[in-house]
Formats: sequence, C-alpha cells, structure tokens
Amino acid sequence: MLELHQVEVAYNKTATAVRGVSMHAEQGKITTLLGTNGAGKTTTLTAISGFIGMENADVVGGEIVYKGRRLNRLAPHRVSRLGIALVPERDKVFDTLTVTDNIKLTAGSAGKARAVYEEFPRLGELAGRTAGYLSGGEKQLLALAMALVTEPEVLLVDELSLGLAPRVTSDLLGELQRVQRERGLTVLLVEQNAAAALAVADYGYVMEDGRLVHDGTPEALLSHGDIMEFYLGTGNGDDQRRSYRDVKQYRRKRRWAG
Amino acid sequence: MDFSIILDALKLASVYGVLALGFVIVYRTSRVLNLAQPGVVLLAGLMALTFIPRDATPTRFWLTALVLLALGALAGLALYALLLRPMAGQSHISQVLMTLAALFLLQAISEAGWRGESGFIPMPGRQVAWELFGTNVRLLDVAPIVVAAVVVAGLALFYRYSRSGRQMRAVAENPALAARRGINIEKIGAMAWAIAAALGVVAVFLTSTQGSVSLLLVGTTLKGFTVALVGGLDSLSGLVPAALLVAAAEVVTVRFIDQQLGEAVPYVVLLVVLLVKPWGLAGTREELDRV
Ligand SMILES: Nc1ncnc2c1ncn2[C@@H]1O[C@H](COP(=O)(O)OP(=O)(O)OP(=O)(O)O)[C@@H](O)[C@H]1O
Ligand SMILES: [Mg+2]
Repeated sequence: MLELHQVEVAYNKTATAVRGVSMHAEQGKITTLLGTNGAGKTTTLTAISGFIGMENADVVGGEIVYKGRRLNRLAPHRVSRLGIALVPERDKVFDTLTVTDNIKLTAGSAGKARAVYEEFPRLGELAGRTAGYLSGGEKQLLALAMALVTEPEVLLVDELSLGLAPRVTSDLLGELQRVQRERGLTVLLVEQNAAAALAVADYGYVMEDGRLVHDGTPEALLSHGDIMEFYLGTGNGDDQRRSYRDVKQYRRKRRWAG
Repeated sequence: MDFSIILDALKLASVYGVLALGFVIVYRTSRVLNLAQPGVVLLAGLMALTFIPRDATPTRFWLTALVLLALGALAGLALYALLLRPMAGQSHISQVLMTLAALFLLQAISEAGWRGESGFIPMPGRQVAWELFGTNVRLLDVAPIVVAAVVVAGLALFYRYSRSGRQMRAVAENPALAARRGINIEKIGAMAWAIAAALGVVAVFLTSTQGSVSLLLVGTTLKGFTVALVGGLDSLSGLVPAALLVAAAEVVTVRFIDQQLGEAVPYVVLLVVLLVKPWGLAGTREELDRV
C-alpha cells in the first residue's frame, strides 16, 4: 500500500534526520512507528505527506511509493488529494477558525460537514467555538475529524497522546481504532507511548537516531525486554511489567467488547 | 465642529485604508512586506493619466479603469510568480529585499516612460455637488468613502463566508497544515497578491478624486503602509481604526497647525502607537518579531 525504500530526509539541505528508512504500511492495518525523542518519527511522517517550501526540508534519497506511484517531492496538497492525510504533531487545527470552519475548510460540501458531527457528536457540541480555545483532547478529536473528512485511504497520525492524560489517550486511540475498522483505513501511527500504540497496532517499527532498529508484531516487540528498555524507555522491572499487563488487559477487554 | 473637517478625514482615511489593505492582504498570506506595492500604484496612476485623456467619455473612463484593474491583478500575479515563488524557503529579509528591488525597477520604468509627468485624471461626475450641513459637498468627496467602505465590507464578508476566504484565513494562520488539508497554497498566495495589486489600482482612483497623479504616489502609498503598521500588519480588524486615526491626526494638523507638518503626521502616529503597542492596534505579537 504505502512503502518507503531507503528514504533519507534532510533539513536545510544539510542536517540528515532520517537515514535509509525502509518500511511498509499494510492496507487496512494499523502500523506503528515508535522511538525516543528526536528519533526522526515526525520527520518520516511529514516526508510522506510532502513538505512546503517554508519548511526547508526535503527527501534527498530513496523512494516513497503509494499504490505504485512515487510521492517524493510531491506538494502536500497533491499528496492529500491522492488520499493520504496527516494529522500533524503540533499546530494540527486552525486556532483562529471556529470548529465548523475548520471542518468546512476541507469537507467540500455542507453535507459532509454535517456527517462529521454524526460521527463525532462531541464536536457537534463545540461547533461554534474558536478552535484555539479547545482542550488538548478536543483539539486532537477535531484534528482527526478534519483529516477524516477528506476521506483518506491512508491516515498518518503523529502523537495523538501528546500532552494528554493516559485515559484520554486510550479513549482517542480507541476512537481511532473504531474508525479505522469501520472504514478499512490504512493507518501509520507515531506514538511516544509505546504500550498504548502497541495495544492497537498490527505491526510496529522502532526508530533510533534516524534509522530503523527493530520491527515486528506487537507481541514480539513487547516481549523483547531490551527493545522496551533501550528504545522505548519503558524498561526497568516493575514499570515494564505494569505497562505490558495493562496492554494485555486492554486487548482482552477489546476482544470481549467484540 | 466643522463638517468639512470630518469629510476630509474620512476621504483621507478611505485612501489610506485601501492602500493599507494591499500590504495587509499580502502579509497575511505570504508573511512578506510587499515593498513593490508603491511601484504598482505609481505605474497604475501614470497609465491612467495616459489612457484617460482630458476629454474622455465616462464609458472610456470606466473601460480603462476596468482594464487597469485587470492589469493590476496580473501585475500582482507576476510579482508573486517571479519574485516570491522562486524565493520560497529563503530568509525573510531576502524576500523583502526582492520586493524592494522590484520597487526600484518599477520606479525606474515610470521615470523613463513618463519623465516625471504629472496631471489630473478626469473623473466622471466631477461637476456634481450638493449643499450639506452648510458645506459644499462634491460627489467626488463622497465617492471614495463609499467605495472604500464597500471594499472593506466586501473583503470582510469574503474572508468570513466564502470558501476561498476561509482558505485564505487558513493559509494565513498555518500554511503547512492548509497544504496538508488539500489546499493549494500557491494558488491562494497568487490570489492574495492579485487582489492586493488590484486594490492598489482602486487606491489610485480614490486619490485622484482629490488631487493629481505624480511620482508622489509612492510617498502616499508608503503612508498607507504606515497605516497597515499602525493597525497591525496581519490584522484586518485594526485597519479601519488605524486609517481613521492617522487620517484624523493628519487632517487636524494640516488644518490647525501647519500644512508641511501634516506630511510627517502618519509617521509620528506610527511611532507613538508602536511605543504603546509594538505590534500595532490589533496585530499578533509574534508576527512583528518575524519582520
Ligand atoms: N525544522 C527542523 N529543522 C532542523 N532540524 C529539525 C527540524 N525538525 C526536526 N529536526 C531534527 O530532526 C531530528 C528528528 O526530529 P523529529 O521531530 O523527526 O523526531 P521525533 O522522533 O518526532 O521526536 P519526538 O518524539 O520528540 O517528536 C531531530 O534531531 C531534530 O532536532
Ligand atoms: Mg515527533
């Protein structure tokens, strides 16, 4: 579906932030990209979505291929129109616009905008509010809705959990998983919170210092103590066991819930 | 209170407001001070002088005005395509220097082509006048106020309710996100530059209801720039109060103190406002840091 081959990304033509990354986001599945701060996760996702001139970043090597089509250096609005939507890490909603204007901006038609409120009733309650005054979780929900209203086939999500309480994070990830299943979306999910991401993902990659260092199923990654400790910072004893148990419980609950 | 002084201030505010709009619209979408704008205004003024002869019929006048408006929009597109687009990602200062270079070029073209020519554009309806509150009010005193009000209100409605307007607001706030939500930011940028340059042409006709067209248009446009700074470069809501404030201060100075001193008033107002509110009456703080 979406493949990266030996992708290299540089900022300001010099600082290489992503080096030789090859990965694959399988159709209809959730793939997660994990790693510590500064590993290059955001850079990778943004590169797929395309850079604007002002960002001073470029794919300087390798290939990004979507359905057999090369995406390298395509303008972001073209990538978006091919059906790939990025929910960025920061500045993900238009703060000066109302919730409704944020949605209308990309919805194309009033009917589609209304459908968003049916899918996310919480946003309907906030419709007239200026997006800048929303809470972190509400902004995330709005950002997700804005991306979904373009009816993408691939959703790139960068740190849904940024600055949110763990409860809110798992609610949002649950929401994401629900939408993903309903629509058969292909999702590439970047997360700081490895346990939460692996709980919903079908496959995971681990990034460190611009390179991919591991990949595998959530079970394989979670049971690999070193990975959890060195790369995902959830190591040392109790901590790890607790998060692992949480994850297993979450998965069991989901299974029960159907 | 003398009614004519209010009329004078409103007329001047109309001209300054429309001139300021040209800077604000471009700045909001492209984050660039378009210093080429005075050159566009000057060239449009001189062309109007040439193509609207003294004995022009109203039809001839309006047709020429329409053509100049279209040419202005094209000039805006050209500036965007030739100056700004190739400079995307360059430092802010080099982009501004490019627009400054364009200003010098346009000025040189004007001087070579018109050799310092000046004159009046024969406005239709210049004989029409009424007696109002004991003052002789000409149609040409009221027209610029009405036109400016329509332009400002129309633009506000466009920004608020139209699809393109919404897109322009989105691009102004966060171009990267706008692009990723499928908006062609270059198209929006081009549209902003075209509208701004066309407004420069409108301003030419507004000023020529009051006086002659000459190389001094550059200075007048720079006063419009001052008004944009007073209101806040990225702010549409600050623009009307800023135009009224600067124009009122200038008219009062000219009337009661000194004609020459009036010329300096916009800059004095700017200094005072910036001392109190460094980012203008309604500008965004962070925006000014970028300038
Ligand atoms: N605009 C930029 N200009 C220059 N360097 C940048 C820029 N953005 C990121 N970098 C650098 O690129 C590297 C990767 O950053 P990136 O944001 O992709 O990491 P990340 O994995 O998303 O980290 P985090 O988990 O903190 O979000 C870092 O070393 C960072 O300093
Ligand atoms: Mg990041």
